[in-house]
Amino acid sequence: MILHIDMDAFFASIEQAINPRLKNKPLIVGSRANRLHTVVCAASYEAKRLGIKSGMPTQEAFRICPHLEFVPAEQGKYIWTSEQILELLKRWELRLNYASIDEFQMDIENHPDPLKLACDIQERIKGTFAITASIGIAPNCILAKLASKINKPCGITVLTPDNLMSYLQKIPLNKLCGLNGITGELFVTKGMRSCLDLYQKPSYFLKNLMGKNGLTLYQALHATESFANLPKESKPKSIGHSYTLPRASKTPQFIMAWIRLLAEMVARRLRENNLESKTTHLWLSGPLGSKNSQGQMTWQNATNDGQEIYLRCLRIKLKSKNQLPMIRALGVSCSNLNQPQYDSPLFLEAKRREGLLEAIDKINYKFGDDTIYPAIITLASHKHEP
Amino acid sequence: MRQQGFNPRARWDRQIPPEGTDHSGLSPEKIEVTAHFKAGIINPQCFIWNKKEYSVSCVNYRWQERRGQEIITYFAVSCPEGLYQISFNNTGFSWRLDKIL
Repeated sequence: MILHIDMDAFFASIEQAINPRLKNKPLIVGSRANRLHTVVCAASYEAKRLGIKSGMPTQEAFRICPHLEFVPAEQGKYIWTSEQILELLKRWELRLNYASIDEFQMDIENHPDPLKLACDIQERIKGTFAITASIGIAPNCILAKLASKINKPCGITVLTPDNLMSYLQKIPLNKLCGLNGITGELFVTKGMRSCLDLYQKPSYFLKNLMGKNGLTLYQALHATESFANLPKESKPKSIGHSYTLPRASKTPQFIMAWIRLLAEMVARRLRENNLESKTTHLWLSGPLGSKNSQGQMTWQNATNDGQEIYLRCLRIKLKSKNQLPMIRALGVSCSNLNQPQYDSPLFLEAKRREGLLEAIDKINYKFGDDTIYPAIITLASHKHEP
Repeated sequence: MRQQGFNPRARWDRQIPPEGTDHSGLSPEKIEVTAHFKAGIINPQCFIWNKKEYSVSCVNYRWQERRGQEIITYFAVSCPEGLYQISFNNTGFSWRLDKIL
C-alpha cells in the first residue's frame, strides 16, 4: 500500500502562512516579479474557486479578479519547506519517495492503521508549517496520487478493493496523472470517459493503443506496489535547464548570454555529479504561435565545461534550419553521460582549464554560486535587454 | 532535491520591481535584534530600525537559504506596527530588515 501526500496549493499556502493578511483571499504566486508579464505558478483555493489555474497568464487572472493578491515566487522558501517536510516524514521510519517539491510517497505495507497514520501526518504538517496536505492511500502510486486529489483540501481518501470501482467511476479520465493531454483525448475518442473505463480495459487493448507505454500504464494501474522492489538510484540520463524570458527578445548578445548562463548551470551540475557529456541539446522557442527550433549534436570528446557546452550550443544554433527572429524561451541539456574516463587531461591547455574550473567551483562553494562567473552572463540581466 | 543556487530566477528576476504594486521600496538594512537562541532555534524578540523599537509579537514563518557556506535564516514576523521580513546571517552574525510585507 502507498500513502501519497499532496500539499494543498503549496506555494500559495506558504505565502499565506508568511503573511496572515493574505489568508482567505484570492492569491496568486507569479513565476516572476513582473505581475503583468508572467504566469500563475500557484493559486490559493480562494483564487481556484474563481476559475484561476496554474499556468494561466497573470493578465488573464487579473481580468477574472482585478483585486487578486499577487506575490512573486521565491523558490528558496518553497524548497526549504519541502525539504523540512521530508525530514519530518522520516521520523515515521517508513520507506519514502520524494516525488516532487509538493508530493511525497510512503510505503505503508503492513502498517496496522494507515488512516491514523494519515491523520498524524496531516496534524504534524499543519502544526509545524501552518499549511495543509491532502492524503491518498491506495495499492499503488498512481491510484494513491489520484486518491489524494479526491478530497482536497486537507482530505484523506482510502481506496480499498470495496470502494475502488465506485470512486473510479466518478472521476473523469483526465484527472489521472499523465492523461490531461493528448493521451487522455485519445482515450476519450475510444469511448473511455471515467477512470473506471480505463481501469477495466485489458492489457492488450492498451498495448495496441499506445504500444509499450500502454502496457506500462496497465501495470501501474493494477500493481500492488512496495518501494522495497525499487531499483537503487542510478546516474541521471540527462541534465538540463530552461528559462522563459519575460518577453520575446531579438537581441543576439542577450540570447547568447542566456545560453551561456544555462550552459554554466548544466556544467556545474555535471561536475557536482562527476559526469561528462558527449551530447548537447539546445532548444529555442519563439513567441506564442511561432515554431520552435531545436537540435542536438554528439561530439567525440565528453565535457563538463560550461564554456565548451556553450560553444557546442552555438554550433547547434548556427546549423539549425529554422532560425527564429525572436526568442521567448530557451533550454540547454546534456545527455550521453559518463564518468570522466581519464584521471588527468593529457594536454597542457586542458590541464590549465581543469584547474581553473576546480578553483571556480571551490570559490563558489565557499562564497555562493554567483560569486565568480563568466562575464558574458552579466548581459543576461534584464537591464541589458533593449 | 537541493537548492540550485546558481539560478537565473533567483539572480535576475529579483532585480525587477513588481509593476503597479505597493512596493515598500525598502532596500535591505542592517538592524539590531534581540533574540533567543535555544536548542538550535532562533526566536527574535524585538528589533530596532530607524531608532524605533519594534516588538515581535509572533514569528509567522521561518526558512533558510544557503549562500556558499553561509546560512541565512529568514523570519516573517508580526509586530503591532505591521509585518516584516528580517534575516540572520550565521557567518557574519548580522541581522537585516529585508522588506515590509
